[in-house]
Amino acid sequence: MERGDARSARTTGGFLIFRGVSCALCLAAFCALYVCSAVAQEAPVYYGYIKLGMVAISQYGEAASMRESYNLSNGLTFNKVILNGKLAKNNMISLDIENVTEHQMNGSLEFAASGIFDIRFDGRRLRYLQPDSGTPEFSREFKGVTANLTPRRWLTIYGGLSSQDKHGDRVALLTDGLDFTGTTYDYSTQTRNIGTEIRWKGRSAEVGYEWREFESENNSLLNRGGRRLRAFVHGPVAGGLSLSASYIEDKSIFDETGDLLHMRSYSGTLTLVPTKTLSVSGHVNHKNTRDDLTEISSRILTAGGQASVRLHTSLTTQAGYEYTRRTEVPVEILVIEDKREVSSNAFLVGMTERFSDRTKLILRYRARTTDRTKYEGLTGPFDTDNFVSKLEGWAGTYVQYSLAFEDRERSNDELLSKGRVTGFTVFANVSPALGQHPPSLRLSASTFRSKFTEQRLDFLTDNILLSARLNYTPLKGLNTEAGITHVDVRKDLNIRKDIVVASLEYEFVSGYAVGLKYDLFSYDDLLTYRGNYAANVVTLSLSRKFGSDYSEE
Amino acid sequence: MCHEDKAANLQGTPHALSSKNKTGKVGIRVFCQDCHLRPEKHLEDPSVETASRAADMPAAEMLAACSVCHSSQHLRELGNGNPHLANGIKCVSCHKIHRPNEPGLLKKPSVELCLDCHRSVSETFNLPSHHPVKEGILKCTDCHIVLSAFDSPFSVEGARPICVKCHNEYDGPFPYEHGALNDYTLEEHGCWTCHEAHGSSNGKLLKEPDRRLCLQCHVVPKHFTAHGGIWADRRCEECHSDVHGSYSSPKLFNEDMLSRPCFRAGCHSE
Repeated sequence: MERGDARSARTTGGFLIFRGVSCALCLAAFCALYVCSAVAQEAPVYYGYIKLGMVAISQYGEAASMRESYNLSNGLTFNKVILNGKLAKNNMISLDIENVTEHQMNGSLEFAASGIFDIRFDGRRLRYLQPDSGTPEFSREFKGVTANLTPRRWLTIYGGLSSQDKHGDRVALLTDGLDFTGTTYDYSTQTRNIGTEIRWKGRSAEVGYEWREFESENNSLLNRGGRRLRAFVHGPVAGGLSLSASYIEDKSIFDETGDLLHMRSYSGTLTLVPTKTLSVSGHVNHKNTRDDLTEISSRILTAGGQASVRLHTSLTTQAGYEYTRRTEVPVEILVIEDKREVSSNAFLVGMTERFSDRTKLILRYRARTTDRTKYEGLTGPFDTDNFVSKLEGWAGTYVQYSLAFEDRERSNDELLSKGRVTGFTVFANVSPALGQHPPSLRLSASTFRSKFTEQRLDFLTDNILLSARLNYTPLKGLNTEAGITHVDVRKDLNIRKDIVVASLEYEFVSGYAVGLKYDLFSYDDLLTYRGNYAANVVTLSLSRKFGSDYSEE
Repeated sequence: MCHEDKAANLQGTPHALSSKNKTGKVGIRVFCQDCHLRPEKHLEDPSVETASRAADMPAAEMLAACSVCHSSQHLRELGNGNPHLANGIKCVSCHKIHRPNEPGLLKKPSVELCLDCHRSVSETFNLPSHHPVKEGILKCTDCHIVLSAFDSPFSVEGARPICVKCHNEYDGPFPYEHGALNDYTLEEHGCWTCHEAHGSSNGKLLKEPDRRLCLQCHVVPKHFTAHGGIWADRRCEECHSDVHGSYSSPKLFNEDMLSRPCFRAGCHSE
């Protein structure tokens, strides 16, 4: 068997097992719900939702060029399974599964003996199409379980296991050149953690420890492990003053060489809320990292504070300052001993004005300037400027709107490079009072201009994004939806993208609904003429809502 | 009992009410007054005006009330200068305690909840290269615990532990690191020095395309003129291909590149 065939067989086989496990979890959840309720002779209290779909796809072009169409597949799909229920004696069960198809699965199952114990299983499996083969060649899989034991109201002991695997073919990051990771993914990461938390009078203290192992089948040089200790204290101290402090210690160790990266971080935040209108906080963080491999140690000190004042009932203002100093401690290999320090000053001002209960204006400006006079090297950190503004509210009774403007810039004066993104977004939700279930029309228009300038090369793109979505219930039990999203990228790129969706769902018997959905995906890269794709997707679905809560809606 | 309907719709949720006194015993823990603070006036005068309602509670007071039982990192960091709290976004802005429909007692699926307010971010998920949030593969909370007021959109533990949860091959340390990748270096910013977090019109979520990305930080003396300018139009990563970190070269060349004559024994040997 060829290597590719073996991998394909392994990923296919693995997925079947994974899907089998997820189905078993569903069954176990349903069985537990009914059996426990029966044993307790209590009526089960539960609510949930299940939706199954049958998908038919017609597509052409390069499927991997459009992310929205990743993992689409013909055949049966579990679109959504939610089950929340109460078992005997306040025990709870919660199942949440989404989008189970041939190529993916995402879900969790949680069981809680209320106040004593809870356990949660998480699973996620994704397979991606690669540009040339058009077949699913790359998969990412996550599995995890976490458990919390609460033997006393004030004490929790927790632990967890998780693993993440990546297998399959790998495409180059930017060009045909490949980096150290080679032409395939063959990695797995295992993580285990334990910890405990105590609580008293609104305060908490937590200590946790984590082990992680990274293994590569392709290259044993990459194999490494890690350990992380985390400790937190949080809670009120006295008279409106509260403290939050943490200590984190992390070690990464290479299996073959024993070299390690060692990080220690201390941080603390004091928050004072003397009155209902004033909040003041100060924070300090010190991080110390030593890298045996590069023989460089670094120290990062961050200290700052911010205040939030409600000037009157409608206006709240914020201001803050943060100082950061980064120092690389010269060890043997560094020649320029006094030139390895960068410091920066960050400022923040903002305000929120509530013109009425329903209209709000937010303005925020944030800037950071960097002092590089003690730094020498080929690279340079950035200065940043960020301005964000947002106005949201209601125009009349039926129109909810928001207007947002943002201007983000980062620059390096020494290199004369500057990247700037200017964006404007208008959003409106129109919901006129028509009938018992009024229609809702959501309209959105955005434009983002991204401009990069440097001594030799400029790059400019104008991104225009338009979307409209209408939800309407013309008859009781009949829900309809139609939507379109158009993306137009111009100037130095030339890309058009469209997504059209139309669906209707009819509740033919209380709790049971049948649905029909049509999706159109279209992508054209008009500059390179590589990456053109179109797909028509039709989904027929059957859904069931159950439990008292949904029926009350 | 006046509010039987409220008690009933807590059944089947973690906040299902106890009918007994507070004893401190496990499994008997939630009472109306745990959330609806200062009920004395309402008990004396059971009118709407005296009721302690979530809508009337300041965000900081609600956080304090919830923190009596809940002490997750989510809550801890929310109290430390978080912009949500400063803008009056409180626990019940996202969570629905009575009759919740979504896991985590959320009002809506978590992605919808976040993107309903963060409209600009929502739109950037429509750009050609984006994290698959709208496709239901990722949730906002897979990356964000909460936001800090300054630069870090993640948590006190930094971005690196977040990104490498999925992109684990880039979780160094590498013998030769690309400084920008690590938040402990002088170049600092981490993964988002080069990548947008949400969406980009450039492939691989890059902030800028091709070598423009590198030129935002790097001075490249002679690269445009050496050898008669034959490298002037080439992409940086054609040679510096181990862009995230290298096991063999401080200049981030990969081993194939180092085996070429110009690097093995020629003018560019290290």
